Order: sequence, then structure tokens, then C-alpha cells
Amino acid sequence: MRIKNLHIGYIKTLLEIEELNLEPGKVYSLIGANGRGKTTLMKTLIGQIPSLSGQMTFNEKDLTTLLSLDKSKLFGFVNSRFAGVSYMRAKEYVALGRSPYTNAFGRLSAIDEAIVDQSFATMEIEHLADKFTEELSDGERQMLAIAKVLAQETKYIFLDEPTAFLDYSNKKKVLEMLMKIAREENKCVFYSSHDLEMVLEFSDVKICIAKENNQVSINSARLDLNFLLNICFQD
Amino acid sequence: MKHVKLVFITFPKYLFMALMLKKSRTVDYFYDMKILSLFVILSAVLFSCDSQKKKDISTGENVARYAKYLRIIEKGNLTTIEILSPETGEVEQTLNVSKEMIKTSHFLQVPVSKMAVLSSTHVGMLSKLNEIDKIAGITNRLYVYNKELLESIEKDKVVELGEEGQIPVEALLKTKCQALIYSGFGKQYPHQKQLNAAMVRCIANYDWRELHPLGKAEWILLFGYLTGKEKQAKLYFDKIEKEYLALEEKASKLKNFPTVLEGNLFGESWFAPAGASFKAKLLKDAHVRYQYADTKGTGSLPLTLEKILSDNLDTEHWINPGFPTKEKLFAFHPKLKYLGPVTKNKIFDFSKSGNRYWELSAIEPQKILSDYLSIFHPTEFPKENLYFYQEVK
Amino acid sequence: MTRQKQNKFLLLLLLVILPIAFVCHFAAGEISISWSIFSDAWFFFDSSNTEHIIVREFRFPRFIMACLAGSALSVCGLMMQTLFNNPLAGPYILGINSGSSLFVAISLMTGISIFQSDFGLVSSALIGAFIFGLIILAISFKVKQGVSLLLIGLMLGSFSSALVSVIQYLSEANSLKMFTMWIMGSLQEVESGQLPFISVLFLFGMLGSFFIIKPLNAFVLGETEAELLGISIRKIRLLIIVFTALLTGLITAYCGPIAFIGLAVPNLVKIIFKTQDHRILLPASLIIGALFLVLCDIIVQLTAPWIPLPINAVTSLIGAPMVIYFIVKRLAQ
Repeated sequence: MRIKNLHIGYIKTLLEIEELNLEPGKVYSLIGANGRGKTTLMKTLIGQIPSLSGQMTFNEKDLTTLLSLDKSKLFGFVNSRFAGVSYMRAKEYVALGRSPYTNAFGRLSAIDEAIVDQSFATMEIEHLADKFTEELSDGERQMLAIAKVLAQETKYIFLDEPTAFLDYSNKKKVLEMLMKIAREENKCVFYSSHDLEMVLEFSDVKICIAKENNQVSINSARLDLNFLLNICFQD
Repeated sequence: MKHVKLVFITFPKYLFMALMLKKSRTVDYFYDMKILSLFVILSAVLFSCDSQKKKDISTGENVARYAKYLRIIEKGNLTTIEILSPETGEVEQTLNVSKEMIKTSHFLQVPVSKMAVLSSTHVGMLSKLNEIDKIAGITNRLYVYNKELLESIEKDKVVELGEEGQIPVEALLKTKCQALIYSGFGKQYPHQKQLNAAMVRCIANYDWRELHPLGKAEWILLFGYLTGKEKQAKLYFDKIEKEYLALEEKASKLKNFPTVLEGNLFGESWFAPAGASFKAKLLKDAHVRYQYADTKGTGSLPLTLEKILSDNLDTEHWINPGFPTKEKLFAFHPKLKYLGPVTKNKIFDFSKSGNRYWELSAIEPQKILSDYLSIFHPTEFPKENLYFYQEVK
Repeated sequence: MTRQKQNKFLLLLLLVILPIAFVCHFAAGEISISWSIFSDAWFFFDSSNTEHIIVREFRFPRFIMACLAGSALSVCGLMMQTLFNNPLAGPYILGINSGSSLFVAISLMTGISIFQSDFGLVSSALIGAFIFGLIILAISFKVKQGVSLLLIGLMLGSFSSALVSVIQYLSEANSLKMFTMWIMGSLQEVESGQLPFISVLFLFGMLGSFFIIKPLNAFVLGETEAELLGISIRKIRLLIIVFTALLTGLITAYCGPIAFIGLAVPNLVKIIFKTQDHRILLPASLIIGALFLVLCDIIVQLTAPWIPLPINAVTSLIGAPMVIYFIVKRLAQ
């Protein structure tokens, strides 16, 4: 997925990205202070908000012309929090990730069932399958939400502050899992976060939004914490 | 079954009045209270008790002979009018009227120059006394039949006050009327205190609860005294009494008893007049056999359509279905076409003019009886033109 | 999956109860009719025999209407709850019924001639339901909070009933009577001859609902998530409103506005089946909705000789406490 001269915002340009290539097998992290446009950028990338100008292409094809069904097979998205749905079991929830592939009545084929089971296995949460989503902890639900995106079998997985509501060990667990997925399943993972130390450890490319001028910088090299703090959070 | 009858005695304002007499009431009751209706009915059952007649409180000869809820005693220049509660039989309101100048608020000086009347029957009674010009306010012109009154409304001499229980008090005061006549419902009129302070008398009228057709008509005396035309009122009443009794007497000598069904569905139920009700009395006087004539109660019996159907397989007549044509009747409820009398084609309704019926039927019971006799006994009582009624075709 | 099998078995069991409900409903009628007459009424029909007429024209259409109305309103309630992501939504609460009432009032009482026919009544109820459905949908874009939406639904209801009162005040006695009769709600006004027409529309709306099971399942997660799962939310939103308006309007036209069933039954179904899968919820709402209204009508018939209860009073009597329970339970969380 290639991004060129992309202007992002609602009416006025909030952010501008000159060039960014999202490659499979890599983990991208997005860092910036509140209100800098992280969520807007994420929503633009998955096509929920139109870009103001610029290009987004996948395999040389313009992404804006893509049908929503095709998009759903390409992009998966995980919210910062899944609060659970009453009476919905974990397995039912993850199975919804198969929606783009199932027939008109949403009937799961044997293959779909296998993929759902595999997603549970990948996330190492098989024991949760029969539990109600409302009864799970935030950490468990976040793993479940990622399992659902896995079941959706998309090349790209976007996560909006996936660690925001988690305790330290769960944050680590989730990010480790994301690294594992990117490596083992050859997916492109793109997440935003405020947990700078973790970002440094668990991502290949760091995309920083500078606090001063909203300049977007893309850093593949190893960075240190002070550098991030300086760019993103210093006035 | 006992409970049911009690319900309809004890919750008069909405059910009884609604079902038996007035068109607009019906709608209000079930529209506003459709969900509450059960609670209303249940509470009515819980709190109901048999009415007890108290002994006469005032002494002297009662001018009213048929009316159960109206007592009029003349003492020289002073006349005491007592309005009795149909629930308890006790005096609900006492009205001392006098034609002489009396400067105390305990007395009402008559004739009253202007009054507001909230029921069509009141208009009818005033019209028989030629006192339509005394009317200052009514509820809704849609329900008026009297031409003179309609003209006065056109000329803005009479105001429309809207819903009986929630009239605009200021509009009423503007008319400078001295009395407000409303259909009694066992309680004070909603704005009574305010109105009394403004020297407007609120007078309950229980004509609609009377069980004898002549008792209903006798309420004309109330209007007679209020307008100072009590002599004319008495004369008029004596005349209709004579006519009514004569018809009843003639009818009682008939040999055959045609069968009849009365009323129509309301919601899930057919509210058939109970045996001791006003409507059953009229049917009895018309010398017909009414299926539910032997039931107890003065209100109505809620019966299912299935029951009405199977009870009235051979019934010949159907009276008061409430619609002028069969088309409208069956549009109202398609299954009415299976009723016995429909197949025999003998359906009559007071639909010549609904407004005229509502306005005049109370004060012209002899005309209803005469219509009934011509409908049920056409050979013995032939009549070219019915007064209130016409066949539903 | 054993759980799915369990649920399917339970659905089948409920389906078996339906004929039993029919027998009870039939036996609950005030006039007792033997089963031999019941079969005669079908195989040796005699139009002059009152008992035959009671069987064919009274009991049978009444039972069918109870089933159709119960299922239609319950399925509508389910779809509304999913669409608005709010377990307290339902066609009655959100004012869809009020739309029908308003338009039926207009057509019955203002004497617009094209509306006077049977077809006119249905179409005005449908149009009213559809318009009010669209209004609620439009407002739902602005108002995200569930409770506010319900309040707006109630306001729509009050608004339309105020308009209806104005129309009532101005209308003449006969049409007023017809409207009053209609608004009180009844399952016994439909004739057997009307059943095919009603059934066809019912089937159309119901089949339509079954064809959006998959989007409905995705809608449970919210519209944004549904869109990310490849659901075209605009189209589905509109379809839900169309099917809801069709089913609610149809039932409301013939039976009057019936309260609470659309709210109570889907919640009951979720409690029983403990799932959010509409492949189970939809058929279950359909069957339990039918059973629920048949039960209510049995109560109406049994109490009729003593207390004249409109069907609406019974559904409210049973439904309102259930709804209070759901609200309390929801607020307690």
C-alpha cells in the first residue's frame, strides 16, 4: 500500500504525508499528542473519511474506488476498546470477522469454522471461546478483538490505541502478539499509541506527528525515548 | 356478573356516559385511557358498593315525579331544587331560586339571563322553552342541531368552550353567564371554586343517569325554574307524559312480541343495555322481547361478539347500530354482517340527524317510543315518516 | 456445535407448541364448539350454520392474526433494537405505530376518498409508519445516546396523538367512531377473505427480514464496525426501515396499534437463547412473538365475559412490567 502527498483532515488540512509505503510483515506505530489527528489519519487510511487530496493505492489500484466489501477483505480495524455485547459469546463475536466471506445468511462453512478456531489459537485464547463477551476482562476482550480481525483475513490491520485501556502486562501481551502476527502471518500492522517505551520496542517503523508544526516524520531506525518526547510532546 | 354491573354504575363519567349517550366521550375515554382502562375498571370494582337511598331530607311535595335525581320543592316565592347523587342517593347540590331580589349568595335570582350548557340535551330542553337566547356557551358547534343556536354561534353571540371537563374559564367569564350546567359525574365541576367566586353557579345535571324516559325528560323543570318559565315547563312535561303513557298503554295491549337487539360493538365487547337500564325500559314499553331484558343492572353488559351472534340467531330487529348505512356499518366491523337481524334486513338507526337525536331525544321520549312502535309493530302503528329513526340500508 | 443444536431444538419445540396454542385459543372462545363441528366447518361448510361461521370467520382468522401480528411486531422490535443498538427500542416506543395512527386518522376522518377503501387504510398505515421510521432514522444520526432516542420516539408519539386529537375534534361522529374502534386495537376485525392479502404482505416483509440476517448480525457491533465488515450500512438501514414499516404498518392497519410486544419479545428471546445471532433470534422472535400474542388473546377471550379487556391492555399488562424489568436490569449494570 502506497501513500503519496496525502492531505488529511475534515475541511482544513490537519496532516500531510508526503510518502509512506505500508509493507506486509512490518509493524507501524503512530505517535502524537492528543488532538493531532492520529484517529483521523487512521480513519482516512481505512477509508472511513475521504482524504482531502493525494493518493492511496494498493497494487497500483486507487483505494478510494474500492467497494466496501473488497475493502473489508483488505483492511481490518480494532477499536481502542471493545466493551462487549450482552448475550454475545466470544466465538460468535470472532465469527463475525468472517462476514465478508460468508453467504447471504452469514452461514459459516467448515473452512470458516476452522479459520475462526485458528484465530483463537493464534491469539492463545481458546479457553475464552464459550464465554460471554460482557464477562471478559478488558485485556481478554482486546485479544478477542484482534482474533476477530485475524478471522477477517485482511492484509492490513489497523488498531486505534489498542493498549489504552490495558494494564502493563496486558499491554505487553497485546503488542507482542501484534509483532508475532506481523512476522508469522506476514501482515502489515499499524497502530497508534501513547505508550512510548513500548512503541520503541514493539514496532518497526515509527510515524511521529510533531507537536510544533504537525509535521509527519517516518523513522525506521532505532530511536530513543527523549527523541520521541522532544518531537511529539514538547511545546 | 355482579362486578361488571357495579363497574358501570360506579365509573359513570367515562364508561356509562361514554357508552350510552355521547359520541365524543367515547373517544376520549378509550383514546386517553386505553392502557389505563383495566386499572380503572379494577379500581372501580374494588371501591364500588351498592347505592343506598337516604330518606328525604327536605319536606314538602316534590314537583318532580319521575326523575330520581331531581327534587323540587316550592315554598311560596322560594323554590328549593335539590340534585341527588345517583351513587349515594344523597343531596349533592342544593339550589334555592327565587324571582324576588335577594341579596345573598345562598340564593340564585331567576330568571338567569345567561347560562352555559355543556350537553346537547340541555340545549334541547331550553329550545322547548323558547329560551335558546339564554345560552351563552356550548361545547362544540359540530354537535348542535338547533338552527337558532347555530345562527347565534355564527354571529359570535355564543362561545364554543370545547371539552366538557376542561373549558377555558376566562372565555366563560367573558360571556357574563350566571350559571353553568354540566353533566353530573359525582364530583364538583373542575373549576367550581373559581367560577363560584366569579358568581357563576355550577349546576350538575343527571338527566343522563335517569332510568325512566319520563324521568329524563322531567329535567326540563330545572331549566324551567332557571329561566323563570317553570309553568311552561310543567305544561310541556304534562303533555309529553300524557302522550308517552298513552302510547305505552296502547302498546301493552299488543299480542306479539317482536325480538330486538340493541347497540353495537365497542372495542372487543358489545355493551348491551342491562335489564333495568333506560334503553331496556324504552324497549319494554315498546312491547318487544329483548334478549337481555331479564338481566340485572342499570348500565350495560359487556358481551362478546360471538355471544351476541349466538344469542340472537332469530332476532328480527336491530336498533341503534350507530351508522346510517350498511356500507359504513360493515366498514366499522365486517363481521357484523353475520348477525341475525342483518339477514332479515330490519336495522334502524337514529341517523336521520344524529345531532337532532342527541339534542331532542331526552326531551321527546314519546317520539322515540312512537318511532319504536312503528318500527316493531308496523301494522298496528303505521307511520309514513319516522321522527328520529330511519332504516339502515 | 452443540449449543447451536440446542437452540435449533428449542426452536423446533416452540414450533410444536404453536398447534397446542391453537387448540387452547380455539377452546378459549366464549361459545363452546365441539371438535367435530370444527372439522365439519372445514369439510362440510354450511353458511347458514352459525357454529360453522364462528369457526371459519371468527376463531380461525383471529388466531391467524394473533400469530401474524405477534411475529411481525416482535421481528420489527428485534430489527429496531439491532439497528439502533438499543435493547429498549421497538416499533411502539419509537413512534412507528404513531405514524400509522396519524395517517389512519387522516384517512379515516378527513374523508379523503382514495383512502376510504380497505387498501387505502393499509397504504396510509404503511406510509405513516415509513415516514415516522425515516424521521426516527434521521434523528438517530444526530442523537447517538440510546435513551434520548427513545425520548424522541415518545415525543413523536405524543406529537402525533395531539394531532390526532385535533383531527378527532374536527371530525364527524361516524368516522370518529370508526377511528376509535380502530385505535382500541382488536384481533377480531379481520375476515378470512382478507387473510391471503395480509399473508402475502407479511411473507414479503418477513422474507426480506430473513435476507438481512447477516447485516443485522454485523449491526450488533455498531454501524462503524458493520461497515468495516463490508456491510453497506446506508442500504441496510433503509431496508430495515422499509421492512419494519411494512410489517408494523400492515399489522397496525388491521389490528390497531398494539403496544409493548415488539419491545418485550426480542428481549425475552435474547434471555432464553443467550445469543446475538439473528439466525436464531429472528425465527425465535417470530415464533415466540406469535405465541405471546396468542396467549394474550386467550386471556382476552377468557376474561371477556367478566371484564372487557382490549388486546392492548393485556399486552401492556404483561409487557410493561417486563420492560421495567429490562430497564432496571440495564441500569443496574
